[in-house]
Amino acid sequence: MDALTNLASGFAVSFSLVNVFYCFLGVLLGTAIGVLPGLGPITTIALLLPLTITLDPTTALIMLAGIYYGAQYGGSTTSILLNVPGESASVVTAIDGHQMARQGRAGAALAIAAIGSFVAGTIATFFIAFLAPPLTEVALRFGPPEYFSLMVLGLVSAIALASGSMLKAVAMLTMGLLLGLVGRDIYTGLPRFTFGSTSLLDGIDFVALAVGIFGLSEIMRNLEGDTGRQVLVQKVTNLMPTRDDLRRAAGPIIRGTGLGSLLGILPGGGAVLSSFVSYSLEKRISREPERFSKGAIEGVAGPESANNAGAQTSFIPMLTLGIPSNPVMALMIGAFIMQGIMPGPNVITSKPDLFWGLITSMWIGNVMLLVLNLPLVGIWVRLLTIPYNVIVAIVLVFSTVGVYCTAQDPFQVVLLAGFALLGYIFLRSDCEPAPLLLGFILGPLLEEHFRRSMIVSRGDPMIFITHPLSAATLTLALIVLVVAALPKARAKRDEVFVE
Amino acid sequence: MLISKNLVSGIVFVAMAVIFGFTSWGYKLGTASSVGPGMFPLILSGLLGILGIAVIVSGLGKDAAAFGRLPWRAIALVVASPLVFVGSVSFLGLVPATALLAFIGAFASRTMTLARAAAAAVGLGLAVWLIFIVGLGITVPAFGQWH
Repeated sequence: MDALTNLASGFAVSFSLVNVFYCFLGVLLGTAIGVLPGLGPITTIALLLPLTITLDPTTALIMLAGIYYGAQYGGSTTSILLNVPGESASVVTAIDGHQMARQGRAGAALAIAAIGSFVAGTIATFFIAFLAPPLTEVALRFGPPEYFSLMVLGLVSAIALASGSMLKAVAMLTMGLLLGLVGRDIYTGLPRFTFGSTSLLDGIDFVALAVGIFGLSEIMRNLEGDTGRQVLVQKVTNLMPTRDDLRRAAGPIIRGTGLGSLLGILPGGGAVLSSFVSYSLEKRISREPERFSKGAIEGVAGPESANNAGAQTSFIPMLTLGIPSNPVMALMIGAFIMQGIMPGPNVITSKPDLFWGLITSMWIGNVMLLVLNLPLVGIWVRLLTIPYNVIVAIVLVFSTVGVYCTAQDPFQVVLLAGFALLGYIFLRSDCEPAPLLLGFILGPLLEEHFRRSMIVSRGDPMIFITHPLSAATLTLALIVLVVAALPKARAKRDEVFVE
Repeated sequence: MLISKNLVSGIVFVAMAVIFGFTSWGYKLGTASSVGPGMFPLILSGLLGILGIAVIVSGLGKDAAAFGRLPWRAIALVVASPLVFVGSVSFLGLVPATALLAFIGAFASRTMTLARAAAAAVGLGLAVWLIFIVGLGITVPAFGQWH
């Protein structure tokens, strides 16, 4: 068994003392920041990313992955206890989870969320180990036109799944692509859109963009209804789920894991989509659908397992193709590039230690989540009671100092302030920022593969259609776009998001 | 006249399209077989311009959602405090500049009190010193030239 030998060599890397420590630190910090109301995984990762820059690449990425699922779990805790989901993936958890909390069963909801996430994380780890190598084999045969078309498909799917106006989503994406082009042109060395500034030669710092658009603008929005009201959180007692809870949760956990593992791989998929689909599935097949939204444990178990599985398998397209399927993976690609590694099919052969170490660390991280979070739940509850006006100061300090220290350039802090303002204008205009971040990371890659394809074909744009795989991908993208634009599909999609 | 959400965002899109479009016009467009640095951004700018106009037009109706009132205090202080930090960090050093940033930024919330802002400034200054200087070994002077 090849996959098992790979996993074994991966565990040898991820079980080293340093890596276990940073995985632990990542999970701990990710949960601590992710639990703060209003801070989702994207903001959390962007805020904590500067802490990883001085580490060795493998360790840095292991820590970042830990931050990601820590943040995800922290978000679930917040939505169960406070009914304020910090991120869209835990919106559905809030529905039944918070009802359970109001019935005094917060402990059971948190425990099931942790158990479900652990089961999903374990299965998803093996899923990645078996699926990634063959996918890499395929990916190695891709040429520029195939990559270009795959990226188009990824971007189109991201638009199709964005909530709100599709027109605005496409505009946000296009703007992101343009912002990504700022800096020196890779072919001619010409500085583009730098307006004479030497700070922009290497492009816009992606931490500044992500933190500004996702973190700081969100603060402005949360301060709109600024009352200084302190949240009340009940003490969480009795973490043990009953035998009945476990019996009810088993099915949803398994189904959620399967669903999440598959949906996570799709372009545009990942944690958010998985949790929504799992919730509607559980509600549909339940013999007592009326219990849902009144504190049904199935409504916590399914989506929580699905979002963790989806979060993990969404690493597959990123690691094998170098294409991010969602904004979190776009951040991960940014982190890879900061570490001097271009994600893609070559990583598995050129850096097997990093590849398998990262994958196996996901399982270790999930174990840590389970053994850490339940005993520490008292601390997370205390963190929830930090007044929002103090959180404002914390987020401002870590975004600003983080950008200043990673970029080592004052101008990127000015950009951070600018992006905060821009991000707020977009939030107020109901323009979702996720496509912009995705476009920003993919802009340079999309252009590169476009130009390379045109060189290969000696200027014939038909190359994207004459290459069968590229043609099939573009057709698929077209279908996704048309289906998503159909009024009926729009209505259905809005229904799922509103539910 | 109603200032709608779509009007504001549409104007931002069009403005970006104009800036990027005109700038890329000055770069070599190249030919189909050797695409220059200007071609791809020019295509994108054109697309963004069209989308921006479409967004504006879709917001012209009477029932369009209004952009609404702005939390000026929060906007001003969230934008200003990083700028104050970056303007003062080389003189003050990382730790005092962080404290200043935290102190000013904390007042983005109307409910902030003087004592709490001072506590946040001290606490966060200390945290940044521990994490970035001691922990990560970032080579930025902790205290600047003033002492």
